[in-house]
Amino acid sequence: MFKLTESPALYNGDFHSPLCRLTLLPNLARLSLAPMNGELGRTREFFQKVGIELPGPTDAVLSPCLILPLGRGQWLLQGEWPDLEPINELICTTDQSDAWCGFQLAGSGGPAVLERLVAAAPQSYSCGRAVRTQIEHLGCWVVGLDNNEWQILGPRSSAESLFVALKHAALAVDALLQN
Amino acid sequence: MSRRVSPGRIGKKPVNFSFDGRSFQGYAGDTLASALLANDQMLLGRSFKYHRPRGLITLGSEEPNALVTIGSGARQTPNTRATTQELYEGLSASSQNRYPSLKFDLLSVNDRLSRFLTAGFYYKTFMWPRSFWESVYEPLIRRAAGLGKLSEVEDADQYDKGFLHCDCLVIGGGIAGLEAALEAAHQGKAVILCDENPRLGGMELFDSAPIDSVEGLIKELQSLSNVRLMSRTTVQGAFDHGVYSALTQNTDHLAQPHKAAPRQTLWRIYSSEAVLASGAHERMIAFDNNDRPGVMLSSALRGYLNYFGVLAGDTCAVFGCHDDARKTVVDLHAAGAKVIWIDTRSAHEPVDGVQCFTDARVVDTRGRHRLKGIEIEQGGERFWLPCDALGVAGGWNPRVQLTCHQGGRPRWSNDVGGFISGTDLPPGMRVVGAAAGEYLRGNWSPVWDVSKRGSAFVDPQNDVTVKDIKLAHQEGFISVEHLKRYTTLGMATDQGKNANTLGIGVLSQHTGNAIESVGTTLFRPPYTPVAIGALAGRARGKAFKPTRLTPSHEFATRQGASFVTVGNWLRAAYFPQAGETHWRESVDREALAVRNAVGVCDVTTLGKIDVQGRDAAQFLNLVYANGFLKLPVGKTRYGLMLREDGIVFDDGTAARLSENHFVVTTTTANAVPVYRHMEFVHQCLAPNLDVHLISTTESWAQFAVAGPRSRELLQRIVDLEISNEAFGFMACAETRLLDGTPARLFRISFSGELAYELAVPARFGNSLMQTLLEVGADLGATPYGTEALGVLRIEKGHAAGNELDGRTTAVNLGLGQMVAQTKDSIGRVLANRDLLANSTLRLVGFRSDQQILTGSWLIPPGRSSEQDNTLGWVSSACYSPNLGCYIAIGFISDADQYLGAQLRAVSLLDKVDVGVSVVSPHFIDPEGERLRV
Repeated sequence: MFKLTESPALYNGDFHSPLCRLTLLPNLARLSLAPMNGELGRTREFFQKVGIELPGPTDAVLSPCLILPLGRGQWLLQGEWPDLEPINELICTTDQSDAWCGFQLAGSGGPAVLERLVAAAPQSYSCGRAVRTQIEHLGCWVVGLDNNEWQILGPRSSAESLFVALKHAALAVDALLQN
Repeated sequence: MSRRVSPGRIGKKPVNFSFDGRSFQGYAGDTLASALLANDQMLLGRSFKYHRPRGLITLGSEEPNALVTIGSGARQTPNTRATTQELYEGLSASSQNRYPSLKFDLLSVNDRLSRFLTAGFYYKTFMWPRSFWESVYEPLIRRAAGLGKLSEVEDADQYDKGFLHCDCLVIGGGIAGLEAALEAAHQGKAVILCDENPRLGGMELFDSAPIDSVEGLIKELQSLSNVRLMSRTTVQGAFDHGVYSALTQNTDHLAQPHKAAPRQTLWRIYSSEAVLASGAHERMIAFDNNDRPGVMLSSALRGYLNYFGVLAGDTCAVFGCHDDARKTVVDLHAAGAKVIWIDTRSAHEPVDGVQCFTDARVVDTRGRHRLKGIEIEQGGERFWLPCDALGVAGGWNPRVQLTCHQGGRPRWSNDVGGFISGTDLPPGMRVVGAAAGEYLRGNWSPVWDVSKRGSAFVDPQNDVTVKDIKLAHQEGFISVEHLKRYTTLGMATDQGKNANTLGIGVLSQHTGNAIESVGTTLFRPPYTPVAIGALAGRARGKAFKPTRLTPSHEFATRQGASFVTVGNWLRAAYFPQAGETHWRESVDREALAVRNAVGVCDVTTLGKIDVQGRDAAQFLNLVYANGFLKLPVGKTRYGLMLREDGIVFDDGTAARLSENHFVVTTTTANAVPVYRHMEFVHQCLAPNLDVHLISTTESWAQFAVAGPRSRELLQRIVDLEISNEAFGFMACAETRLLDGTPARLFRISFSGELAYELAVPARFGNSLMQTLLEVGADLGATPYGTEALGVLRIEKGHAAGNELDGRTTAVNLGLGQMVAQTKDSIGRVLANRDLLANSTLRLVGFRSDQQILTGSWLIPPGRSSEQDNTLGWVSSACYSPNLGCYIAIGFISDADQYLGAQLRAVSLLDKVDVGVSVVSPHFIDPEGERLRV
């Protein structure tokens, strides 16, 4: 009898420098959610009852789970979201756990790292906000978690390329400070 | 001999460097130019065409002459302006365009031949024999003329890119820029101020007056949190929508930069507002031999003295037609130099103790490797005076380059004596300070050309003389744009900063036309030269583009697979085994394993789109040409998608997992276009349908398990009854593996064999691949790659990307009946156009004992290999290990007529001409029995 084992999106996806820490997030549960036609109001109400306001464009919910606006009437949930059983008939859901890889970027060098990679204005990924953008041609999310802490979500298959991009930028920032 | 008379504004910390192998000492804060000048090294280079000795002309980024090579090998940078290169310990510079040495350059013979080497001489000579141009003449000319040379070694430096946002971008850190930045900052705007120099302050720094006010402004700006001051940063271009490019030189001034530090960073700056405060630079006057080392601009002579503490000569002459000349005279005199002042004007404020010639002009100079004397003309008389430095004040050119980057045209201002920006500025930009002509309006008497022999240099970088301009005009190059291209005036690294206005002035003087009517050429980005490496940034080598790895990449790597790039994906092409010496051996083995036992292939790269909603079936019924409304739950259907124009867009499958839930698969190449197309249909054509789309390509690792023993293998893996009766052809199910892993199983076949596709969450992909092969080892389970995949599908006659090439229709593919006429679908109406519907082009097969090349044209025997004789083309070809011959599929017109006939497959490109017989495209199991067992 066999037992399949999980692989991480990337082996060795961590990088630390005096100015930033880059950490590969473990495999996390993710779900895309879209209310069926006419069910947006009831879906919102359900989330409001559990203390969550579904975020509008450019915003993000950070707690109790991460929620990002994927598109018009569509959200991405990450982490431990509320039990959706009561609204099962109202929504379409798709498991997206393996679609994305995530990195945590933290440290005072973070803004300098991100300004090397993200064309969007820094305000768009400040704390509590999220931006869908490109990092070295990869479609990514940059989410502001705290003043000097961000989560970057990118396509799982390109985890290595995304890590290399982040790491090179972090190395550059670090080296320029030491000059 | 040292020409340093004071520490200037830079201090006295010694720095050692070398030039052409000779050791020198300068001070920290020096540029290479100022340090060489301080060491009395006046000769710095050779000119482009005539190899004339050249020295400094300016003290900034507009320098045309003092171009040197910095470093060597992988870090060699040619054409570096000595005037902007900051000095650092151990700097090694060398002169350019000379042989064997700077002082003794054999090619200076060109100077003697200059009367024959006028503008465009090579257009008129070297005409015969024609074949000699590329093989002999051009290489010789290129060797004789030129700037620095590349090392031809890969650049060892790293480069960086980034994005900045602000409300107000201030370009230039002189007094006007500093004031503009402060004003914007006080209004609460986010401000970025860029200046190309290492130190903010602009031209104020080079004057003798105190700079307290400048330092005060800088201090105040530094204290503001909404201001970012970026020195060593040159704004290179102004682009649409408030986008500016800027280059920061991070390490070019450092002796030992951190090894990971990017040498330069190219910024894209977004700003709704820009203030151009780039200042102005002085210009030359055309007089004979005005290019000798020691002849420079008056402001440069003054700047080297005041900022760097270097007095360029013992006897300094200043030749001007402008009030600014006086400032230089005053400072030189105060520094103790013997000063001669020659001014074209009849009256100006004198300077006590300075010999002054009014209504006079310098008409010639002498000295070979450095200036030794000047010839002055006054009152009809000419006489020589000795001097070893000459500053020329010919007027000022406002730096308006960035105002032109979006088509703006500068306009001439008699008041300023230069071109200032027009009204057509880039949106959001305003011009202030000297760049707008402020401070420059003074007592100016226009003087352009005072030469007698025409050997006065207008563009020293390209060796363009007054004589060249006259000749070009005489030959009909009247437009200033034509003049530029014929003479190369204003080209190369300084991009006309020195030459353009002077050239236009000379043309105006000699044609008698006003400068306004002569016109001007425009400037384009970049403002100063940018290293190619900076444009590439981090996008080099492995980081050139992102890579997508399949879930089983690690397994494939361990197996020694050979990979092929498919879009950004890296896919295993084949898995060589010990003893196999040629890729064909591996591919043949893998293809045979699938036909005879079972093979496993990672097909994750195929696009996967989740389609959910109450109207999901209706939606798919619209986007696919064939029907999907009645597809039962638990079944998969092959689908054909057309473009609006009726041409085939993509093919794939749609599996109905539940009443309102489908999974669509696409070809690898069209994963994104199909998703985009479906979103377009949803959002624009059928917005009322209750349907929700999301890509799941990344989410699921999917494996084709194909071959007569595939069922046996999968029954050991999945927790589902998969007998033919329970799980028939085209069945699909959401299930679990025996270990509980969630999975999806589809009974679909691309190879024509009994086959399945098994999907698990991507994180289990690598483990599943390994497990399938281990569990199926006794069944002969074999991993196969894209090459065998291709062989198998050609043997079966399945169309793929090569056949769906944007030109073919369903009819061409033999799938005309799939386009349902009883329902509406995208592309149906236009697919019924006569031209498409009645096309006789059909997909057929070809066999041969010789290799058939993809892309070959099909020509009947006995006809010449010409376009008119072609019947069609070969779209895919391979060797079939199952049939033991070469096979191909492709398209021919009137296919029915040629079935069984002999044709020629001709590739003119590869010079291959093979005989092929036309057969059915289904080489294997045409009845489809194998896949239904």
